[in-house]
Amino acid sequence: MKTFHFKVNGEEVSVTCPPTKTLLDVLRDQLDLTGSKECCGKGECGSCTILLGGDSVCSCLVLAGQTENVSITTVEGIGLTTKMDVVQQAFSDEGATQCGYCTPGFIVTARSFLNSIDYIPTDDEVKTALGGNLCRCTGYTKIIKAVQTAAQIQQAEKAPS
Amino acid sequence: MSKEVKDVQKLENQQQLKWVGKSVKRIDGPAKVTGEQKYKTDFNYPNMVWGKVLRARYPFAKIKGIDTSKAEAHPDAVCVLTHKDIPGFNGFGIVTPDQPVLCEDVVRCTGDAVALVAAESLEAAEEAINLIEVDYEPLEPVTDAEAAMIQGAPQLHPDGNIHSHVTIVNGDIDKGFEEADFIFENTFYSPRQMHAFIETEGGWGKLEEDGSLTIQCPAQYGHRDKLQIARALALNPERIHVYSSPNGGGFGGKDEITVQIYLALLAQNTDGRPVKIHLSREESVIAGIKRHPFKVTVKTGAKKDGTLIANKVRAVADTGAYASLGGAVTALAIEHASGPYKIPNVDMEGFCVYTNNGIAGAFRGFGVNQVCVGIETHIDMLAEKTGLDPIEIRKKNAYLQGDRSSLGHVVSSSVGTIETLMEAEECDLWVNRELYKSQVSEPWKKRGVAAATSFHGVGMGIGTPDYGAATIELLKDGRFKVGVAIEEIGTGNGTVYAQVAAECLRCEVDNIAVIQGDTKETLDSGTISASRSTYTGGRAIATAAPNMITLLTEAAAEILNVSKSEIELADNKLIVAGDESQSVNYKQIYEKLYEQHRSMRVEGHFYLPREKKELKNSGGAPHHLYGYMTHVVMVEVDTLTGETDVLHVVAIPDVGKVLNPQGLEGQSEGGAVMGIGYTLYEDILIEEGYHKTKNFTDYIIPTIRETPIIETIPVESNEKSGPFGAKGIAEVVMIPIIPAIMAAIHDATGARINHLPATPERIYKAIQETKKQTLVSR
Amino acid sequence: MRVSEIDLVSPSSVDKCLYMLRDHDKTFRLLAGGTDAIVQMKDGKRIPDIWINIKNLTELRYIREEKEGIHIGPLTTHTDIVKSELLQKKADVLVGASMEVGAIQLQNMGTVGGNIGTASPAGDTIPALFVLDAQIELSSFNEKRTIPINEFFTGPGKTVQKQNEMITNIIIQPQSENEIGIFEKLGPRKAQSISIVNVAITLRMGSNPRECLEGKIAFGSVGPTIIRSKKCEKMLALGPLDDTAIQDIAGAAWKEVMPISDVRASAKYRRSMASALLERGLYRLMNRWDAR
Ligand SMILES: Cc1cc2nc3c(=O)[nH]c(=O)nc-3n(C[C@H](O)[C@H](O)[C@H](O)COP(=O)(O)OP(=O)(O)OC[C@H]3O[C@@H](n4cnc5c(N)ncnc54)[C@H](O)[C@@H]3O)c2cc1C
Ligand code: FES
Ligand code: FES
Repeated sequence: MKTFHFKVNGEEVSVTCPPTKTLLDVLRDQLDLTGSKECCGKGECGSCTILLGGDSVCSCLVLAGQTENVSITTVEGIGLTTKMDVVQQAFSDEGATQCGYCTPGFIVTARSFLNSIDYIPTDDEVKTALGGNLCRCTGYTKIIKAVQTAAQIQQAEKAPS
Repeated sequence: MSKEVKDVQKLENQQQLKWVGKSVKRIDGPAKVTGEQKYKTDFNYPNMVWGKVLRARYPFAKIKGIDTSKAEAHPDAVCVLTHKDIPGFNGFGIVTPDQPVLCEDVVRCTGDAVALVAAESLEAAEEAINLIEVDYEPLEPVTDAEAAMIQGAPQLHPDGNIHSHVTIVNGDIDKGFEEADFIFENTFYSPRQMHAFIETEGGWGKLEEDGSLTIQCPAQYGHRDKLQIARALALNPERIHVYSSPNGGGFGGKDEITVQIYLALLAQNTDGRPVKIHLSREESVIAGIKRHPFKVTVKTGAKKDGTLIANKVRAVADTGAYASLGGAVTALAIEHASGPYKIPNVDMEGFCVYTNNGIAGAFRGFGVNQVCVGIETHIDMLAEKTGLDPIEIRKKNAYLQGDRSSLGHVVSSSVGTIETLMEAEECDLWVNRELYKSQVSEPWKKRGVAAATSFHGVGMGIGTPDYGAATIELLKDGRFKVGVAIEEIGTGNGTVYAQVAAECLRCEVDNIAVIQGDTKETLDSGTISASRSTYTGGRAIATAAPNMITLLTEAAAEILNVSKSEIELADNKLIVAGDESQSVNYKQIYEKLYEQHRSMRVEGHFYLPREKKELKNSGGAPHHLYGYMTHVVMVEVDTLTGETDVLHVVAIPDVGKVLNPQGLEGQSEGGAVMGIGYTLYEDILIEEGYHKTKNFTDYIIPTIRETPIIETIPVESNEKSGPFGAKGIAEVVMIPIIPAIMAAIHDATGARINHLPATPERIYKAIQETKKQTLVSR
Repeated sequence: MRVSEIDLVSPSSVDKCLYMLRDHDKTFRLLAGGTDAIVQMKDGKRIPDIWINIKNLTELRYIREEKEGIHIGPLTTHTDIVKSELLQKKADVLVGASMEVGAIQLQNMGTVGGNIGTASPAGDTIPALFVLDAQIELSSFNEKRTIPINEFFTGPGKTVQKQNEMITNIIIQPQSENEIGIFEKLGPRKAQSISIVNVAITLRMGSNPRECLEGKIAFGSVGPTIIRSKKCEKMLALGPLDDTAIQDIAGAAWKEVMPISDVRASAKYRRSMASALLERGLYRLMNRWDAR
C-alpha cells in the first residue's frame, strides 16, 4: 500500500492502495466515480476513457503508482445533469446513447477531440477521433451527428456576437 | 369488446397525438451522458465480499472428486461452495433446466461452473479458486453438431444429443421441384456471434436482515430469474427481490440466468455481507451464451417467370452443452426459413444439437439471421439466371395480409413487405446504383449494390404464454408512476412507455415516472426479447390507462359535485364538460383520494393475440404477428486484399406505426451495424471445445470507423392489435442486411461467400476462385 | 507474486533509472505507456517484482533533427509522432505507421520505445523504422551502444537489449526532398486492430516520370521479425514504375516472406497479402508522385 496524491475533476485527492491497482479501479471503488466503466480491461473498448493532463487515455491501463501529481478529468468532471457540457447535451438530444454503458467513454473522448479543433468536423474526422470507443447499441450514426452538433454549438458560443 | 378497449381505440384514432409519434428525448439521456446513471455493477457497499466462479478445465470430463480444503484454508476466503451446498434443484434453463448450477459428476463445456468462492478481495477470490482441486477424467469432446447426431457419438445428456427436432411441411415438395424450371441448392454456415454487450455479466447478492434475498443483476426477465433462483435455493420466490434494470446492453445475452443463482448461493453464506460478481471479458467469452452457429442446406425451385415453387431446408443448430432457448431458436428459424413468401411447397426441418462447444442461447434475431441467407441468396441467383429484377421477384412472391404464407396459414395481421420493397425500388441508392457503383474510391476496388427482405415474428408464438401487465399510480405531486417489469436494456422502451402513458392520460411526459425491472414493485410482464417490449408494455399501459381515468373521473365528480358522466379529460386536468372553469388537477385528486384512504393504483393486463392452431411439430409456429423489413446496401471490396466496406445502407422497416422516430432510427442503425458485424467480422472460434477467441482483442465488432451512412425509411402498415398501431422491430433490423451484404459482395466481385463471417481472407479466396473459373470457362 | 504486491518506482532521471537497473536481486521491468506491459501483467505474463515507471522522464520525449539524423526519444508517443511537422516532412512513413496504431487513446499512451521494446512481429512502427535505417541507442549505467535496427530483434518478443539496459534514443535517416514513403496495414478492421500483414515502403525518385532510383521495403507480421524485401527492392529501380512493373514487383514479394498460420489468418493468405499490400502501396505512392 502506498499513498498517491493527484487531482480529479479539479479537486486534490489522496488515495491509499497498492501501486498496481488500476486508476479505473481507484476511481470506481475508492472515489465513487463510477461513470468510467470497465468492459474489457485491455485498452480495446474505451469505456474507461479519462483525460490525463488533457489527453484521452484508457484508465484501465494506467496504474495508481503512475498518478502522482497528475491531473485527471472523468465524465463527471465534464458535466453533471445540473449543468451539462454541450457534448453531453448533444448526445442526449440526438439520441446518441442507448444502453449508455459506453457513453461516458465517448463523452470524454469527444470532449478531448472538440478541445483540439475549432471547426465542424467531417464524418471521417469524427470517425478517426472516436475509433477507440466501442458501442454495441447505437450503430454510431447518432454519435457522429452529436459530435458535429456539439462542435456547431461550441463554434456559435465562441463566435463574437 | 370491453369499454376500456373501446376507450383506448378511440384515443388511438384521434388524429392529434401529442407524444406518440414524436421524437421525445430519452428520459434517461441526461443521467447516461453524465455518468450519473448507476448500473447494477456500479454499486458499492462497505462490507462487501467478492465472488468468483471456478469454470471447468476441460470441455468434456467426468468429475471424480472435488477437494476444497486448501481453498477454505485461504486466509481471505469467506466461503467455498460446490454442488453439495445447493439447497434445491441443481439446474437452470429457461425451458429445459439441463444446465447444472454447479457441476457434480460431469462437465460439458469450459463455461461450466464447478465451485464458487467468496473472499475479501477479488485477488484473494482468484487465489482461492485456483486452490480448489478437481479430479477430472477427460472425455473425447463432441465438437461438431452433425457428428453429434450420428449414432455412437458420445452422449452429452441422457436423452441423447438431439435436443429438439422440428418440421414444417406444406404442399408437395417433390411435385414442386418437378414443376421447377430452375433449382438452386447451397449450404450456408453461420458464425458463433457474441452479444458483446459493453457491460459484462455481474451484480450483487445480499441476504437481508429479515432473511429475504436481494439480487441486483442486469437481466432481461427479472420475474423469471426469481423463479429460477427459487428453484435452485428451494426458497419461496416471494422472499427474493430482483432488480434487473438498467442493463448495459442485452441483445438476448442476459435472457438466461447469468450469475444470479451464484450471487444468491454466495449471499446465503456470507453472514449478510453483500457479494459482488462481475465477469471479466475473458470469462464472459467462455461462460456467456452465444448465437447458435447453423449449418443450413437450402434447395429452392422456381419457374422461369420468377415464381418460387418449392423450398427445402435442413438446418442443424449447435446449441453447445445446454439447451437454454435452443429449441425455440431452432423452431423460429424453421418458421422463417422460407422468407415472407407464399411458396406453395415447402419441406423444412431443424435440429437443435448438443456439443461441447460452449453454450448458445437467445440472441437478437433468434435463428432467423442464420436461415434468411438461403432463400434470399437463391432469389438473387434466380434473378441472375432469368434476368428478372431481384426486387420484382420478391414482390411477386411476397404474401399480403390475408394470403396464405409458405407455412400454409392465412396471415391475418398487417404485412408490409410489398411496401418496403416499393420504397427500396424508389430509393436513390437503388435507382442510381449504376452511377454509385462506378464511383469507386480507387481503381482496384469494386462496388456492389443489392437488396434483401425478411421478417421476424413478434412475441412468443403458440405454446408460450405471452402477456403484458402495467401499473399506473397517482403520486402526491400529481404525477404518475408507471410500472412495467420489462427491463431497459438500451432500447429506450421506458421512454416509449412514458409517451404512451402521457398520451393516454393527457399529461406531460415529464409527469410520468417509469419504473422497470423491479420484481417488488412491478407485475410480471414477460421478457425483454422477441421484439415484444414496446408492443406488449405499450399495450398494457394503454389498457391500464382507462382504469386510471375512471378513478380520476370518479374523484373529480365528487370534488366538483357533478355526475361522473359530466366529467371530461382535458390536458393535465379534468373538467366539467363544456365548462373549462370548473376543473380539478391531478394533485387535487390525489389529496382527495388520500383523505379517503382510497387506492391510487390501477393495473392493466394484456394478452398477446395468437393463432388458434399450431402447425404440427413446428415448435410454436405460426406467430400471429410479424415485422417485415427490406435493406438496400452498397459495399466496396478491395480486390487486392478482400477487405470490404459497407458504405451505405437504406433500412426500410414495416413498423406498424412509428412511436418515436428517434428511437426507431436508433434501433435501425444499431441493428444494421450489428448485422454488418455478423456478416463481415464476428465469430467466436472454438477448437476441440476450447475458445480460440479470448476477448475483445480477437473478437472484432465494428468500430465507428466501420459504420456506413444509414438511412431509415419506415413504412407504416398500422397493426390493429398494437399500441397506436405499432409492432416490434428490434430484431428484424439486423436481419435482411445479412443476405443483402452477401449479395452486394457478389454484385461487386462475382464471388459468393456462403461461410460467414465474410472475412477479407474468405472474400479474397472466393475472388481468386472466380478468377480461376473464368479462366477455365474461357 | 501477487499483482497487489508488485512495487512501482518512478525514478526522476535517466541516470537514476539506469542505476536501479543494475540491481540483479530483483526483477525489474520498464513501464512507459503501459499499453503492452499492463496488458501482459493482467494476463499474468512477465510479472516483475518492481515496475520502473519511466513515463515521466520527459528528457526522453523529444523529436529533433541533428547532423547524423533525426533523434526520437523512446518516450515519444504515437500522437507526438503524428503531430510532428518535422516527421510529416521527413519521415512520412513513420507518421503513417503511428497513425495506424490502435486508436487515439492508444496513440496518446503508447510510445515508440515501448513499441520497439515489445518486439512484436506485428508492431506497426518497426517496419517504418527499418526503412528509415533506424539506429537504436541502448544505455546501461556504465555504457552506451548503438545497434542498427536490423540487428536489434532476435525473435518474437526478443531483442539484444540486456536486463540492465534501456533504449535511450532512436536515430533515423530523414527522407530527402524526392523521397516518398507509405505504410500499408491489413488488419481485421480499421481501428483497434493487430496487423495481419503490414509493409513500410520508401522510394527515392528520379527526374523522369515514375523513375525510381532506389527503394526500401520492410514487411511485418510475415516472419519471426521484420523482413526486408531485398529482391523487390532491387526490382524497383529496373524501370519506370508503371502498373505492370508494380504488379511484377509485388508478385515477387510472396517469395521473400515466411509467415505462420494463427487465429487471425492463414500463412497462405498472409503470403498473398504481402504481395497485395506492396502492390497497393506502390499504386498509392505513384498516384501521389504523379500528382506532385
Ligand atoms: C488496444 C490496443 C491496441 C493496440 N494496437 C496496436 C497497433 O495497432 N499497432 C501496434 O504496433 N501496437 C499496438 N498496440 C501495442 C502497444 O500500444 C504499442 O506497442 C505501444 O507502442 C507500446 O508502447 P508503451 O509505451 O505503451 O509500452 P509499454 O507497455 O510501457 O512497454 C512495452 C515494453 O517495452 C519495454 N520498454 C518500454 N520503454 C522502454 C525503453 N525506453 N527501453 C527499453 N524497453 C522499454 C517495456 O518494459 C515493455 O516490455 C496496441 C495495444 C493495445 C492495448
Ligand atoms: S475497459 Fe479500458 S479500454 Fe476497455
Ligand atoms: S449505448 Fe449501449 S454500448 Fe453504446
